Amino acid sequence: MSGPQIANEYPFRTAPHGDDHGHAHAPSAEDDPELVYWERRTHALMKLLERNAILTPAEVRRQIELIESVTPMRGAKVVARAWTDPAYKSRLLADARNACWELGFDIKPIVHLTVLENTEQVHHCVVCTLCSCYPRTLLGEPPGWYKSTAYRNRIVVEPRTVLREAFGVDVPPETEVQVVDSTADSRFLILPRRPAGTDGWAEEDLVRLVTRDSMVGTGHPLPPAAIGR
Amino acid sequence: MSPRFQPGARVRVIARPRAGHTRTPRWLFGKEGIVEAFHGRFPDAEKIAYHAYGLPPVPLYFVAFAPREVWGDAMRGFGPRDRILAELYEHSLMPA
Repeated sequence: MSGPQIANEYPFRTAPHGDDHGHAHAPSAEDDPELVYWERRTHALMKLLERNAILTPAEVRRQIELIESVTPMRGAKVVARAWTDPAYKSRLLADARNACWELGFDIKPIVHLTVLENTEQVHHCVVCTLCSCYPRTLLGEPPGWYKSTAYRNRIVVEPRTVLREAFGVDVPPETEVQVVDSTADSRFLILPRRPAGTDGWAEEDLVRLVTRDSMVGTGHPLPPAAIGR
Repeated sequence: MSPRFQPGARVRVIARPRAGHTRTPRWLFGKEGIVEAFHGRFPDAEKIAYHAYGLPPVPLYFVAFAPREVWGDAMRGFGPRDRILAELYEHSLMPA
């Protein structure tokens, strides 16, 4: 076997850049020879799949629509339920997958789910240093920073610095920081701490305080004042 | 058949557990940690990468490491009791 994948080369350009076009046009393999190697390869594979009636552009679009239809709202509902219902929270921490299923979420794509509770004693944050494993079924697609080599490299080396400087999260010295690298089948959802001043709140109001970043461990939920209460 | 390692067991990550694709991060090779939990058995992702089924399923452990063990004197941006956790296959672990 040989080729760029084995040699670990990452060709960004297959041909030297010629004249500057000075205008933008939609990239297509046929008339834009400057498309980077992987884009051209993807495009070629798509064309082959289409030509051989294995996959249609409509099916691809439909799959993209399904992927993009998932938002962090699912995770936020799980968090809000855990904040208001102690019995549910126990079930969630013991068997997260079934607890999500209880709320009607199709959790099948996540093979193993672990919910990690942030407390006064411990603050968890999640990364995938190997690639970009992320509980997409509960949070949707990960943000660009989560997939960046900067985050993936630095969060396991200097987590408190990254949390403070990049995310404005200052973890007190008395609180343990646990950096969780999702290297295998588990996906991790952080159960953030319930904001102060929310006693007696209904679930649908608490949901509005749960941010995506708070479920990854790089942010805190919003305070009541953020929604005008 | 019970899992080889129990929670609390001291384990060491085998350096280069297998030729080819591994999901054991290089920066944990040779590091000593403590088993936090047994997560169950799952198809071997390292074999699935080569288009095999990855069966029988292999045991997966949640293992905790001290930052000083992992980064040594280069440790920075960590508190004294902070930890790094990763999910590791049984075949990449040995008793410490």
